[in-house]
Amino acid sequence: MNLFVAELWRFRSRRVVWVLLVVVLGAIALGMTVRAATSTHDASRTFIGVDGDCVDDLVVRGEFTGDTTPCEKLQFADDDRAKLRDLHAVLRGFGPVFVLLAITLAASCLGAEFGAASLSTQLLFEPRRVRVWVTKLSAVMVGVGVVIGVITAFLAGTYSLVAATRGTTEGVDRAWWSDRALDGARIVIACMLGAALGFAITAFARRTVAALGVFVGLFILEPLLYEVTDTFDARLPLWPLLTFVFDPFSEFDFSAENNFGLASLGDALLPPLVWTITLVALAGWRFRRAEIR
Amino acid sequence: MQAIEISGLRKTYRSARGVVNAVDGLDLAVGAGGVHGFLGANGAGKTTTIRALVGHLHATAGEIRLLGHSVPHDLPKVIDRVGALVEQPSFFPNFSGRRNLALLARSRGIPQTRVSAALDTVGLADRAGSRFATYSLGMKQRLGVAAVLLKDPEVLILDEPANGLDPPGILEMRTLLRRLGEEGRTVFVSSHILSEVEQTCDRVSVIAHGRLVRSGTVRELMAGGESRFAVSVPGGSAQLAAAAQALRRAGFDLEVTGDGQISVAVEGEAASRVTAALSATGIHLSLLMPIERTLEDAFLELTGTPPTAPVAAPAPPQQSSERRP
Repeated sequence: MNLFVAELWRFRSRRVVWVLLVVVLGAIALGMTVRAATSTHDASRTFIGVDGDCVDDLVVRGEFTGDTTPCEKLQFADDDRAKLRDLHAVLRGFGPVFVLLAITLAASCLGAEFGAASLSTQLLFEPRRVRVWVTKLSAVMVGVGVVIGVITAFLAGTYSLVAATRGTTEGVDRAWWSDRALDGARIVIACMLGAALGFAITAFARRTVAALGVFVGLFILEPLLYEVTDTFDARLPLWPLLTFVFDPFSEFDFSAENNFGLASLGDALLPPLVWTITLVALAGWRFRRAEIR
Repeated sequence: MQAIEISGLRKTYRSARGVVNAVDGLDLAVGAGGVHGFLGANGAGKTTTIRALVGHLHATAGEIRLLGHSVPHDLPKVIDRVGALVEQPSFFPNFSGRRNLALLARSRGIPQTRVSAALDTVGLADRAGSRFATYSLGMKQRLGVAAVLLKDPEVLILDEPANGLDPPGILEMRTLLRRLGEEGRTVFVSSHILSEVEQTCDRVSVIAHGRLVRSGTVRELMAGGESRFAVSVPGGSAQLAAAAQALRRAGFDLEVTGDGQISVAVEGEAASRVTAALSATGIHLSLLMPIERTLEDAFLELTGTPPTAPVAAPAPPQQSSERRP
């Protein structure tokens, strides 16, 4: 427990954690200020003559009963208000950024250890390497989870504030809030998995930049591979992880084919989970046997 | 019980260029208490041995025991009683010295008050709040020693602790090591600064090519090997040459050192044979004096490096340096 507390303390003491946190929170605050300023509703051009709601709107509001009206036949009002019910889309949009942030934080945490060769000194205080490895990984995952949790909460909070003061909160009820809480939880889980992946990749490469390179490479490569093979990228970790964040599975027009062959949240979580466990175990085994310099 | 026991330690590195035995069947015993020097030339296997001692590398063969516990298997049982500094101290560059030590202390449940005490002991309290990256080599070395002291260890394993220290720092380090040894702790210190070892250590082990060459007190090491006497005779170079000839005829191995003296190898206490051989040819001595071997002489002799001409103890420094290539 002492070691875990010390690792958490170290994570908390790292300058890069605070710099990234301030930058991201600042960017969100700035973005929300702009959104508040541009949140407008021209009532004179509000849509009239509806002969039934569009299917998309009904699904979003959870009121879809099976009666359909083609969306293209509807006219929409000139309503650019910040709508609280769009928070789902806002969280989705930020998901990949948060996963990248998580990978960066985790990779830099271990990369700094290799850069400073501080593991050599630490192992003179705790020579049980497996314990050191597991503790470091756990502390980084928890630290990243907290950071991402704070950022997600800040994002949701500021957007809610903008919607409540300058936009609209209609169509929101307790069930909707539960769903958003699950969105946030999925983002945190995905980021913790991403952190573990970044940690393991850095352990192999001994450089922070390697994990970021792999992230960017997979971001580009996986869809290309899917185009070629129809299945291959679903076995790689990144896009399934992002799909887990996006959660397209409850959408009325969902198709697995358009989502890398993934049919459920479980499907999406499995590849990154398997990759994470495998890479973390291999990196840990290597660390246990490595000669420390 | 010995503080450190090493038997048959071997560490082999294999690469495309061949096989290298960094340590090749090393046997070593370090008793409890006092300062024990670990001497060897570069590449002799000192650091490899120390890294094996603290579990940083896996030995190819052999057995290591620290305070009676097998390493690396039982190292966790004994790690709280052992402090070590291996090569350059490694800490987080953007954390202060104090924070680096505080992290280590917290990881082991060591009270934070010990951090200040350790920093005071190594004379780093004033700069403890500065980033480690801004430290000089000597300050980094001090912080490394402070980290060793955090655990209040029974055994200290220090790899070149005086590296980078300025002369006052070296003096402080020497005093600290002596004090720790006198407190009953076992200080195992590798160094290539022979004068430091000579002044600091009670016992010394010398290794060469990964093997133990000699182990004993500093005095035993310096007394070992061939004893030599410096001989001077009155008169000029002709008299000196005559004396050398007489001694050669008497069977002595000698060397004319170029400063008007003859260095004669003498077995045991047979210095009287020198006076007898010279007086038999009518040459009288103006000086007959045992040449004190330094630890450096002993070290060079033991590690297989050709020893330089010995120096008479009272010889002035400039003459001394002239006689050494």
